This record gives sequence, C-alpha cells and structure tokens, in this order.
Amino acid sequence: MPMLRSSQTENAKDSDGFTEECVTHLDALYGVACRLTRNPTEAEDLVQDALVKAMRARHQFLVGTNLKAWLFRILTNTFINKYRRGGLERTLFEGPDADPLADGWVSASTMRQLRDPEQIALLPIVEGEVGRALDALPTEFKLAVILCDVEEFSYEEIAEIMSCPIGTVMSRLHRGRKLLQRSLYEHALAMGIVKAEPRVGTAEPGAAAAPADLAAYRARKRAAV
Amino acid sequence: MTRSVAENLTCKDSRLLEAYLDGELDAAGVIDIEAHLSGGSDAEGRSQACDVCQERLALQRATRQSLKRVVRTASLEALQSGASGRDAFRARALTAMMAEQGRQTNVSSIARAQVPAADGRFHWRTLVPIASAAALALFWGAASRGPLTALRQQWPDARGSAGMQAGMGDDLLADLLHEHSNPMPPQWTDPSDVRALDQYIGVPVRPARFERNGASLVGARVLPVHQQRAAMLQYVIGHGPSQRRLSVFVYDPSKIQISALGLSPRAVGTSEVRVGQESGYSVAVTQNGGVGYAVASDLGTDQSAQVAALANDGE
Repeated sequence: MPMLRSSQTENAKDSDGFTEECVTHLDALYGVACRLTRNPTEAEDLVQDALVKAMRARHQFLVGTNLKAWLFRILTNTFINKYRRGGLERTLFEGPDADPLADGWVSASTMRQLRDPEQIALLPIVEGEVGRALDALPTEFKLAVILCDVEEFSYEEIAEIMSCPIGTVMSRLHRGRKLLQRSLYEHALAMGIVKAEPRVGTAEPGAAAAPADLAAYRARKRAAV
Repeated sequence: MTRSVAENLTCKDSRLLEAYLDGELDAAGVIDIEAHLSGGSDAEGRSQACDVCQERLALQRATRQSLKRVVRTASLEALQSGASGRDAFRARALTAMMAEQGRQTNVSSIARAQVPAADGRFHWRTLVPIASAAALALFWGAASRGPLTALRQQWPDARGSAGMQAGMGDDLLADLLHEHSNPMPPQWTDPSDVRALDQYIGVPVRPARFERNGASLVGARVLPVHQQRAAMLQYVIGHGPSQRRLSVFVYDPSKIQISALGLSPRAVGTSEVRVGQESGYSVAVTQNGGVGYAVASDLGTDQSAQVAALANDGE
C-alpha cells in the first residue's frame, strides 16, 4: 500500500501546499459524504472531520502518491467509525451463491428504451430515480459505485479506499450496478416507459427477485446458519 | 453457434464488460471485448456481434452519466442552499485544518497569535487569500483560549475570556453602532491625516481601501474604546435623499475584541465576514493581516459585508 507509507522527510515542510491541495478535493468529498450520510449537514461535518484527521495524519501521507484516494480512504473510515461500528458488510452478499441478480434479466430492446434519447423529456424523472435507487443501495455497494462511476478511481484505488481486495471491489461494483439498473427498470416499468417482458437468459430461482427480496434472502441465510 | 471466451464471460457475467468500461482490462481483453461487441472476427476467424452486450454497455454508460450528474448536482445544490454556502464551508474546513495544524505545531505559536508581534506574524499570509479566514479564526480561537477543536465555535464567545481583553462582548458592538447612529463630526478630513491615525491605534489605517462602490470618505475620528482606541472612518454613499452613511471601525484585535456572537459567518469572495443586524443597522466584522474591521451602515447586510470584504483587498 504505497500511499500509506510514511515519509517524514518530504512532507514535513510542505504544510501549506498540503492544506490547499486537500481543499481542492472538497467538492468531491462532500458529494460522496452527502450520499453516505444522506444529510447535508452531517455530510459537512463528516468532510470536516476527515480533513482534520488528514491533517493529523499527514506525516503518514507519502508525497507524490494519490492524495485524493488517501483523503477518500480517511473519509470512508471516518464514516464507518462514526456510523457503522461494525464496518462495511462483507459476508452474505459476497459469497459465490449470493447473486440473485443474474445477467440477462432484460432484453436488448428494453435496455435501449431505458436509455433512449426519445425519453429525454423523462430525464429529470429518471435521474430522480437514479438518486433514490443509489440511496437505497447497501453502503458498500453505493460507495463502490460512486467511487468508480462518479469519481473515476481505479479498482486498485477503490480497494485501498475501502480496505478490501480488488475482487471484492469488482463484486461490489457489479452488484451495485445491477441493483441500480433493476430499480431503474422497475421504475420505468411502473411508469409505462418500458413494457414488461418475460425474463430472458438464466432462470435461476433468485433471478426474479426484486431488491426487496434481498432481505428475505438474507433472513433465509441467517436462519440456515 | 460458436462461443469465444469473451462471449462466454461477457454474456453470462457482465463483470468483464464492466471491467472494459472501467478501463481495467489489458490490451488482449480489450481486443476480445471489442470484437465481441462490434462483430469483428476473433483470433479464429469467427464472426460475432452481440446486441445484448452493446446495449448493456450503452445502458451502463448512460447510467454512469446520470450518476455523475445526480451526485455532483445534488451535493452542490445542498451545499449552496446550506446555512453558510459553499465558500463558507471551504473556509470552515480550512479553518478546522489550520486549527489542527496549529495545535500540532506547538503551543507557542498559539501564544504568539494572542499578542501578534510585528515580526513574522501571520505566516499564513503566504497562503491563498481564502486561508486568511482560517488564520483569522485560529487567531480568534486562540485569543479566547477556546478549544480549537470545537469546530462549530471557531468564533469564540468573548465573554468566556472576560477580563483578558478590552471591550467585551456585544456591548462593544452596541457602542460602535451607537457611534454610527449618532456620529460626532470628523476630527480629520484629509486622507493623509486619516492615514496617520495609525500612530493612535497601533495598526495601519487605509481609508482609500473602502472608497469603492461609490463610497467617499467624509473624515475620521479616534474613538476611545474601553481604555483602548479605534479609528472610526466615516463615509457616505450616493447623493441627496438616498445618501447613506457608512462607518468603518479599524482596531487592533489583540487589544479590542468584538464578539462575533449573534453574527453569522458569510463568505464574500475569499474573505470570511461575520454579519448581523442590530437596531436597524447592519454590521459586518472581519479581520485581515492582524487588523480588525467592523462596518456599520444604513445599508443592507449584503452591502456591509461587501464593504468589510474590501479590507482583505491588497493595496
């Protein structure tokens, strides 16, 4: 983890530059904090806490490495420590059999309708739904999706930020995106933007499960233990 | 039907497609995927074109664009409609960081901030201008001996340090407002005489700095404030019946402290200004380079804040 190795020689003198550079990432940090806390005021506090911690730990930051990723790691840890004492969830969802969202759940034509330029008038509605669906995601999926799709971090950087293996990043991204698209599809279906269709592709028992059924799935898993 | 590795992986599990979209595939993987998508031939000359994967990719790209807009726009809107606004949040975050740095550096720097010396004071002057807000709050925080980590109270309650400084609390602000609302005639009207007031109050007085936005200097007086002295610069804005008066109080903040209690923070450009309204007048308080400024006027709080922010413009 090169970005966490400490370098006492190089960074000690550059205090002012460090502070300024941290602040250039303020909007990005705040955007993610808003989605994590779902509360603008708490998001401000979270970002501020994270920046103060970064200041306190700045001797651990290796100059020349990715400051933004380092700050996001601190933000994530601060969030977990503050709101999620148990850490990010990483058990049930990530097992090999935990995928109720097999690929191939909608046809190419439905996918085309979901993003069709003819539906451009519906964009605000769709984006409102994207926001809601994002908020509804489990935190670890939401974070992976935002770090990748919005902040454009690499898998490796996301793995460092979320303190997990790259494989876990890919799996969280995949599931997060699938859940998001399923929400969008179901919303579009409810609004009559797309037509219901017989499910194509794999027909495993969980494939038809809506996100709401994940809770039932987890309950079953828990009961089985 | 022939199936390549890419087709197998992509159509059954879009993870590979996602890795392609995320720019995480190596060159060979990219070639495979692109062949699969575009209907080109793979290494063994088989032709493919996968509609479903093309649509998956397109949908994923569209979703990504929506996500970007949603996350960025929503947070920016939240920030701008927040209590203090985006600039103030930046200033607050910087303030908190500077405070943390100050706490780390050593205690003596805080002690120094309490009685700023002429030499090397405000080493943060070299920072971008926005940092002045941070330095300011560090300075005020230190002067009040308030806990620097109490981030929501960067501007201390001056009453908490009663006896340490002249001019405690809100009554000083009330005094200044009284001077503004019942002004004595100026003692000096020549700008060079006004500039020379620095010898009485111990900090530079630069009347021209506030002569913008149509304000013109009428004159100045020295104002005794609790065994200390402040300069009161008097300006008018506009002509005739719409003419408004404006007073700028210039003082040494290590001797005179104005409580920011009841005033709300506001970012004007890169300056942090505390604004409020009292008895029908607006007040704006700020600090720059170890000099305190308080603006009292018959104008709105916005305009007073703008005038106060002029204190932070270089000459």
